[in-house]
Parts: sequence; C-alpha cells; structure tokens
Amino acid sequence: MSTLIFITLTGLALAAMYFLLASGLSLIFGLMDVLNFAHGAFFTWGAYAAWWVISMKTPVGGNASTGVFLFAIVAAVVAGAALATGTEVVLLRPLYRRTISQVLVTLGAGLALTELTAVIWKHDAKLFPQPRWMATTLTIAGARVPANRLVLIAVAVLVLAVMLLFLRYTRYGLIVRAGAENREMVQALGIDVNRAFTLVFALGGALAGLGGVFGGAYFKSIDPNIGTVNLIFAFIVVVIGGLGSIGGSALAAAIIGLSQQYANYYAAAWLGDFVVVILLAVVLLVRPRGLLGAQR
Amino acid sequence: MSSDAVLRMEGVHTYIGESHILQGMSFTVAPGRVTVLLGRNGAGKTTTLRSILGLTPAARGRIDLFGAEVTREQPYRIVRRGVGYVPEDRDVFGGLTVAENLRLAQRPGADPARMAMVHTLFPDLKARGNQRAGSLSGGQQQMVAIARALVNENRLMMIDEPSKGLAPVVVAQVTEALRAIKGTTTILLVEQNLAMAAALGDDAVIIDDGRTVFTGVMAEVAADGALQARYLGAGRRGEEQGQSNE
Repeated sequence: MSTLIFITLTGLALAAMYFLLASGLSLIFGLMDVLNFAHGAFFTWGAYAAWWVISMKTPVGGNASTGVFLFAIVAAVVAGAALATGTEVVLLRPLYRRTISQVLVTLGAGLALTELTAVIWKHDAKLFPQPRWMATTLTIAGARVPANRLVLIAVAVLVLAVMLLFLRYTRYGLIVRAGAENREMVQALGIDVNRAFTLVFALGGALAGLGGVFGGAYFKSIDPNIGTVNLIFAFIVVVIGGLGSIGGSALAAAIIGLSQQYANYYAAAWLGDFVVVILLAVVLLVRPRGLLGAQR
Repeated sequence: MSSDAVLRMEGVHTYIGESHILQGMSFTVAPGRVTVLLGRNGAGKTTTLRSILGLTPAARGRIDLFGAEVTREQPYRIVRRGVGYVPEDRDVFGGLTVAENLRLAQRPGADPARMAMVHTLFPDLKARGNQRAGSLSGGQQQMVAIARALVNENRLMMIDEPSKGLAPVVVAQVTEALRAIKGTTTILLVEQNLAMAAALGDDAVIIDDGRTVFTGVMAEVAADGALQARYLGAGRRGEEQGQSNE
C-alpha cells in the first residue's frame, strides 16, 4: 500500500510539472493557434535563472534558504515571461496567419535558446539546490515521500485555481475565451487582440519558468535539454486534454503522469513512455478534439 | 457628396485572395439615417462592411469615417471611433454566456445606462443572462449580436443581413427592434429582404459586381420593380417576403 501511495504521489508531482508547462502551451494555442515549440526553452531558462540565483547565494553542496528559493522562483517567472514576450513581439507578431512560418520560427528559437544555455552554462548537468525542508521526506500512510513532490502538486493546484478564476472572472480571461472561439469578432468589438496575445504569451512563459524551478527541484539537477524533453510530454498533455482547455490539460497531465509512473513501476521501466504514446493514439482516434476540448 | 457624411468610401478596391471583390466602390452615409446596402449574393455587400472595419483591408481607394481617414487603420481602432458591428452570421461567442457576450462588448468607460437600455429592448436577454449563447435559437442569437453593438454609444451601426436564416415571425421581431433604435444613431444595413429594407431604410445604395450602380432614397428602390429585377433579381421574392411579414 505504501508503495502505491508513493508511486501515486510521484506520478501526480510529475503531472503537476507537465501541467505547468502544458497550461501555457494550451492557452497560447487556444487564443492564437500558435504551436509554440520554443516553450520548452522558457522552461529551461526558468530553471537556469532559478539555479543561477540560488547558486550565487548558496555554498556548493549546501541547501538553499527558503528566502533565496522564493527569490529564485521570482527570477524564473520573470525570465520565462520576458523571453516569451520577446519571442511573441519580435518573432511571431509579423507572422500571424502564416502557420508554417510560425512553427519554423518557434522551432528555431527553441533550438537557439537551448543551445545558448549550453554555451553559457555548458552541457553537463548542474545540481539544483533546494531548501532543506523540501528535500526531506514526509511519511504519509507509511509511504516516505519527498516534500518537494507535495509542494509541486500544491503549486500546480494553486495555479489551476488561479487560471480558472482568471479565465472566468477577469476581462482578459473573457477576451482569451472569446478569442479562442473567434479572434476576428473580438477585434470587431474594439478589442486590441495583439495586446491579449502578448499577455497570454507572457503568462504562458511565466508558467513555464515556474515549471522550470520545480522541475529542477523534482529532478534535483538541470541540463540544457530539460525543457525540450518535457515539452514532448507537455504537447501530448495539450492534445489529450483538448487544445485551449486548461481543465483538460490538468486532467490529461494527471492521467499521463500516473500512467507513466504505474507502468514504469508495475510493468517495466521502459514502458511508461510507450503507454503515453498509446494513450495519445487512442485519444486521437476516438476523440480527436481531446478530453475537454471544444469543437473547432 | 455630403461633407458631414458619417462614412465616405471613394474608389475602394478590395481583394480576397486573388478575387477582386470591390472594384471601385464609392458611396456616402448621411448622419442619423438608415442607409441600406443592396445587391445580389456575391455582389460585395459583406466585403464592403469588412473593408470599412479593416477586417478585409482595402487595397486601394479611401475610406473616411466621421471625417477621418481609416483606410489603413487596425479594426479595433476603427471600432473604437464609435462603430457597432453586427456580422452576417451573428458570430456570438457560443461558449460564453449571454451576459459575458454583452460584458465583453462593453468598452471600458461605456455608460452603464446603455446596458439597461439593451435589457429594456431585449428583456429575454436579461432573463437568459446565464445561458450559454451557443444554446440560444437563431433569433435569440441575433438579438445578442445586435445587443452587443448597442451596449456602447456608437455613432454608426453596421448590420449585416439581420434577417438571414430567421423565420418570418422572428424577422418581424428583429425589424421591430431595429425600428426602435432607428433615429438614435446612423445605421448602414445590408439586407436582401426587400420588405425589411423598405420598412427601415431611408437611403439605398445598390452594388453590382463590386461597383456602386445606384444611390438614392429607399422609397425609389421599393417602388421600381425594373430596378429590383435588374440589380437585385429579387423583385418577386421581396414582394413575397413583404407579404409574409405583414
């Protein structure tokens, strides 16, 4: 029983990280129809911004203080949001309605940003210091679970709640939801859609940056490819959950994270990723719009 | 041409892809009046409205709105000058509630009394405020689309085929609603239903193959069967629709 609880909480923590990366992707696609292949780089840069802040204030091999870790979160969020805003304003704005060009430019930006990370901080993995209390294990119904898993789950639940409130009760949330249905009509109501695009991109980048910090804490180390590897799963989450649906992304992330962990532990260590691909294929065949996606 | 025109188009050419839709459109809309844009299917009526709004930008020519050139302006800036738009297919946001559709349309700083006025004009919309707009009937969606344009104090309302796809009894309701707002603002109305056009219109512009072929008063078009047959191909249909609405 304790093993099941451990595997379940680890799976949910993995799901939480996928959700932080996928929620921004889903919002961006929902409003702007942009498949943003640079999103993984925002995650990577968030992780490295946090690592850079922590390593400046933490002795080698030591634990970060809670204050420094909180500051690192702010740095990661700012780095992710700033990179995303720059990408949207400089690279994507001239290319709206040119889908293939958008895919190519975000793919190129993602590769360049990832390579730039390697140029600045080298290819080898960096240990990711975290506060002592996050690295310790807690006993839950007999299962010894690292506290950072529970923090990651709590952060994702908080982000999900804030996002749902934002979408439901704010004017920009209304614009995002309406824009996902009919962008042109939103413009015809006198709304500056470009500003909404920038906001959504910045928000997505901030969430990816946040995911980067907690991804570092989850894996205990980071390397320049951390975002690219997780981006693949984030895309699968978005497709299974339904393009543009935040609730769908949360649900799909939970399904994928748990399936991966259960398959890896109870079947074979290599089977987790295979199960995810099978799930993707089944959803695409049975329900192409995803679990909670709107008919497009 | 009137110098105090609300809207003036001069030699406007608009393309959709390779298709040359508007081929030198020119007309004016006088303040406080209802100008009806008439023409056969595919004549360029909807493209005219979209060009005015910048949604399908004009390639050549000049469009002046409230005395200022807007030919190359962004759609949202044009709308913020005081234009309300009711599109041909209504385009309500089906996943949003009726109240959210109206709240989204309300521009920052809009007079709250406008919303009250809309609810007085369309009491059904207030009652259905929490209902998803996608679940409404075609007529109710048309009310939402018109209401969205009315929640702001617009100086020009552009309404594209409000009777399209609606049952005659609903067309009569929409006509009544438009009659209620007539005189409160300038209206540019695209309408194939001649009876509705005649009931509401003061002035008429007929377009054919993307060119203006007639400008005058609506009463003249309504009385001229030959003109209708030549450019609208809908003389008999219009009469039939007129009878069914009475």
